[in-house]
Amino acid sequence: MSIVTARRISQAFFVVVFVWFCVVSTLGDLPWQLRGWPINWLLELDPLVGIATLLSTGTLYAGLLWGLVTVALTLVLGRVFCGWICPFGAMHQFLGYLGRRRKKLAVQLEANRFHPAQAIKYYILVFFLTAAILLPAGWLSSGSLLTGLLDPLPLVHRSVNLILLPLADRAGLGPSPLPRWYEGAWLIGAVFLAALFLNLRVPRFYCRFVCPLGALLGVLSRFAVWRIGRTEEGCTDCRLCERNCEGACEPTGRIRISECVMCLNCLDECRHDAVTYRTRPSAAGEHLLPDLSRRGFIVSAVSGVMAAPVMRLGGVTGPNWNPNLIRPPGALPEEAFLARCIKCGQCMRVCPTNVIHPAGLEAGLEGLWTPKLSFRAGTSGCQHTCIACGNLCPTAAIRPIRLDERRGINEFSGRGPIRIGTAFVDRGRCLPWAMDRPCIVCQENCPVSPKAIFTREIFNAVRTSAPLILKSADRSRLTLTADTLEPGRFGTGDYHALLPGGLRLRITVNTAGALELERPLAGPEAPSPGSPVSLQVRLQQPYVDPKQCIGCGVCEHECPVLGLRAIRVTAENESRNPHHRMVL
Amino acid sequence: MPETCSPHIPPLTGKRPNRQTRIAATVLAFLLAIAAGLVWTQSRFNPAVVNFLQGEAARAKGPAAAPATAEPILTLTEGMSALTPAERFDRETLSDKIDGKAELYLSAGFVRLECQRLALTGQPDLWVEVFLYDMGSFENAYAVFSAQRRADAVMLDFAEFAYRAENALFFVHGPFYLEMIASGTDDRLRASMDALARAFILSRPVAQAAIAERGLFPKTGLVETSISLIPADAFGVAGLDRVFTATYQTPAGAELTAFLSRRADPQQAAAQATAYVDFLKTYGGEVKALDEPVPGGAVVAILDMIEVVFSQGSFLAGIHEAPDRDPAVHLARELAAKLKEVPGAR
Amino acid sequence: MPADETLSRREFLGRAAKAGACLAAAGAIAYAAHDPAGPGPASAEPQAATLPDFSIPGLGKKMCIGHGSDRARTLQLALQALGGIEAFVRKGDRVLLKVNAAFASPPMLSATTHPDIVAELTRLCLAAGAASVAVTDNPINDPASCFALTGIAQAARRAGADVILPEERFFKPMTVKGAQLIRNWPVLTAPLAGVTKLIGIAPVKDHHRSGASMVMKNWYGLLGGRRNIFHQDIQTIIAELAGMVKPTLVVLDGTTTMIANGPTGGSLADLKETRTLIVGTDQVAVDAFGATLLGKTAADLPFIAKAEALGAGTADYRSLSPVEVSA
Repeated sequence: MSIVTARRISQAFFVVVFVWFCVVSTLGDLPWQLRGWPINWLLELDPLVGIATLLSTGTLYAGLLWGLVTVALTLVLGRVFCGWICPFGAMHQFLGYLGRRRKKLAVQLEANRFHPAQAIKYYILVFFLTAAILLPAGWLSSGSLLTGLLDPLPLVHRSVNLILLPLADRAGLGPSPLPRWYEGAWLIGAVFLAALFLNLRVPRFYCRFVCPLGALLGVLSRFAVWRIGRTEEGCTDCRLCERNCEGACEPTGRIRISECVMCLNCLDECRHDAVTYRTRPSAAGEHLLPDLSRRGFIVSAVSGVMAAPVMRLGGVTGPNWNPNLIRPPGALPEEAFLARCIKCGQCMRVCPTNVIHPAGLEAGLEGLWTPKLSFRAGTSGCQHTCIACGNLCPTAAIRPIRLDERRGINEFSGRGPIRIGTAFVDRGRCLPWAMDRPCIVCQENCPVSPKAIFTREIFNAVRTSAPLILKSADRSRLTLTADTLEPGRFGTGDYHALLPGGLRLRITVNTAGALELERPLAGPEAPSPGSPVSLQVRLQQPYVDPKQCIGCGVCEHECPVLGLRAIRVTAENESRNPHHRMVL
Repeated sequence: MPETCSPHIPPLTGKRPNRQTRIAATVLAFLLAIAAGLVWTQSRFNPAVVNFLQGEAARAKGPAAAPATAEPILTLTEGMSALTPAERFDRETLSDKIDGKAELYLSAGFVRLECQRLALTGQPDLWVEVFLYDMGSFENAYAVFSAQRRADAVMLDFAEFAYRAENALFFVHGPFYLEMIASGTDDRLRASMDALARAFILSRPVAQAAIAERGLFPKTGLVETSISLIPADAFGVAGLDRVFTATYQTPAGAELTAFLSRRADPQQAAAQATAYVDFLKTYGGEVKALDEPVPGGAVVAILDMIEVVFSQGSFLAGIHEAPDRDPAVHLARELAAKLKEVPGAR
Repeated sequence: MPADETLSRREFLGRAAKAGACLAAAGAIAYAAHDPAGPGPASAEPQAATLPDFSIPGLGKKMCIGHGSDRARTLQLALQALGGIEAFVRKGDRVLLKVNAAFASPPMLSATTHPDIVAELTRLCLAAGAASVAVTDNPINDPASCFALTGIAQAARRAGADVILPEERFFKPMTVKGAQLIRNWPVLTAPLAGVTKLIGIAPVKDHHRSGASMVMKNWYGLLGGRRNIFHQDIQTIIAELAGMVKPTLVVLDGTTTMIANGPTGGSLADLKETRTLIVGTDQVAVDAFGATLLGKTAADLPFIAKAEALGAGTADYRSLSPVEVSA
């Protein structure tokens, strides 16, 4: 078996594993559901996640230790991760292959020529790493984790989970029976498709020019024990080795070790056994490190160091915080959160009620594609007995919580439940407040006990086209002088007749000219003919108790005022930030 | 060509066999190991999944309002088995089960509801949902029983206060009021409900609390099944509680409603009677006659109807909303006579 | 060729060693920084801290009620009645005057501490040998304009005191032992560093929410953060503040009392010339007497009883046998 075949099998294997991990991201114990599948494993293997979070938090969280394996592999063998493991790389490689399949040799060689712009990915890496450094004073470089924007593993997870799988769901081929919605998915999809389609112009475009992980691994390849190279003799300069060179690393000339993605196509193509993978450097010489200009380096570094503080001058992590930014339960306070979130979208995929969505600019530019909750586009609110998102976050930006802590019971009863916001009734839109229509859907659906929504009863006069005058009263039946009522409308159990003297009785049935009351009138109670009868509607008007409300959003989801909901959750009183406390 | 290399490690070249194959095989072996590792890991469920499954299990058991138990709420008869776990509701959670109807029970002294669905063994489509209301006292149970008596009631023999509707059975036993609602009108269900009811009555002996008041209504023209108990605020009068009413058919075909209520003592009864007459007067009632049917009684005409109010011993009694005066007064006299016979009445 | 081979061997070993060293370093860092559990919930019970006790031990509860229109003069007389400033401030003391500079309001509106008292007290302290006198507060409005418009900054500097304007780094989260409200709350602790004597100076004011704003409420100016949340339980916060701060001395200026529309006032019609200035070591007693200047009793101000219950002082000021002097 040729080694390239093994590489292809390995790439296919990891793509399958990756797709499988995406497919099983649903809570449950069926074989195609989450069970114990380590769906974050590929993200954990990504050393850029580990190193960047190490810079931004000073710790290496749990499974991110796997990144050490990749680092070890790269230090010894070179960028085998890029060529053998990375599923995004495999996709690029495949599309690039499709794009240049039947082209002439000259065209193929041209496509694989090294381009100085391949240095850009190193500048991107420097920018990201310097932006992530957490300095104690905080006035420079506040530890903002931006790697998730372009790091291939989070990017491909995001793209498959939030774009491809939901499309597959709609076609009936995906794991979710209900369509899943993700706000702002268009941008994620655009970036993903752009990255993929660019392979038709230049193979592995993303890997060569953009990928910061590739840049990192390229740097780590500096001391690789084994490397690709030319033998001392045997090369005829036929350049066939470069025909399918994925990294554009110029194996014929001074090979650029940092660009070599270990695809081994050169080794496979060479008819003269002149390309080797050995411990001795290439006979034609090596570029060990990328050619970076000092100026470029400084520009990237300074931009990185200033990026977060400049972005935060807008105050989104301070007094100008966005109340519409509701983070998942267990999310860390905003600055600590932004230091950990790699925008991988795992939380969004696993959320059983589809309420976690990628943010746009609600959290500032730093918060692009970080998780935020939207209760309109979802199947319910944030279930108050669910702890999925935190237990799936690979970097603990949403920390893993236990149910006891979420609900504030047992040992956590002193602290109360985790609140992600508070609901506010919009009295100008709420049916019983503004429209004289009975409704207590929000109160009925409030899941906490005692309920966080309570009602106060009031009776409002019903407008009728003309005043109602009593013609006669017979036990429980009031006959009116005119037939002006809408038949049946007032028999729903919410309407009452208010008789002179103050007696109010519920109407059970009505015709155009008569009302049937809930019970017969005692003799003295019956009004005399000619007296006015008013109709009243019994309304239960909702109020929110901020001490009980956990901001779960079920009320907002269920509210029948479907456009701008009449009860909406905003982030006041969220547990994770004491500065957003609203009540003592 | 001689290969130049460091002594121990031969280079990898384009030559396919052996070297490449061995490495390829090693890589594949690693991949298999990874696959095996993944499969092993997936059996150790993520805590979120464990929590999710626990939640699902709890939801399947029914509303969270009551902890479910396996014990059936009443003795199962032969051929019946429990279809769902028993549920319990108290004053706070009653509305979770029966929604708006809760008000009726709550105002009548409701203590606790146990309910459960029982089915014919092996026939889950033939079920009966049993609602076992503990109303605290026989009178309370009787109050809700009589307030809900359906129009198509068929009286039964095995309990004094029991009736059947097409697919349901309702009865009172001691402080308990039971409703059994069946999934259909199948005869087998009817038989099952009967059997369950009898079994329940036998299994729970209660002090025979006959409602004495029922026997106090004069028999002539009395519609037996119409005796009802209004627990509170009878006729719109606050404070007028525990009023029994009964419907009568006059020979002329008209309907009369008689009422009586046992008060604490004769003084209270008399005071209550006076208060009621005053109440009628404030609404435009005119006293047409006094000392009818007994001294202290009054006949009041209000709107188009006649109201007779009197007290006899510890009882407040009278006729409510009669269309004509004479039959009303006649019935009132009969009622007063019966009440006079009650020991302690003066 | 042997030389080649040796070179390449050396080169290889060198590289391998460097790769190994990098790996070892990476491994070491990874294990050192490894955090399997991740961030936990915010710490449940923050450590309780206490501010130093600035009261003079053994001096006991003393109070003097001075009558007069000239604040400096009345203050002098009142202090003399209690043993002179020397009884409180010794040579070498570092004194902090906690004033009320909450609003950018001119002195004549009596919404803030009068600059005359600041100047006189500074002069007295320095004359008694204090090493330094500083003036501070965390105003509601912009600090610089508040200290300027109230005249406090100018009076203080002219008399020789430093003015410490609050900055974010001067606040540290503090939890008062046994408190319900002051838990993990930013408190203006930096100006207190190295201070040996703390004197609170406040005007007598009506307050819409709490009923009155006097020396105990004055400590509200030590709180940072979004402290207006405490208005939801104003009586308790004032009591907890009194429990938190144990001053050397308090000066309650009732020369011109704001009897209505407090705490900001804004009109001369809100003021009344009550010509009284109280100096004392028991802040609860001083406030209890100050209530009378507003036409209220201690019973009208629940924070007085709450503060007494917390052990901050005595509500029955008469039990202190206050001395009365007139200028």
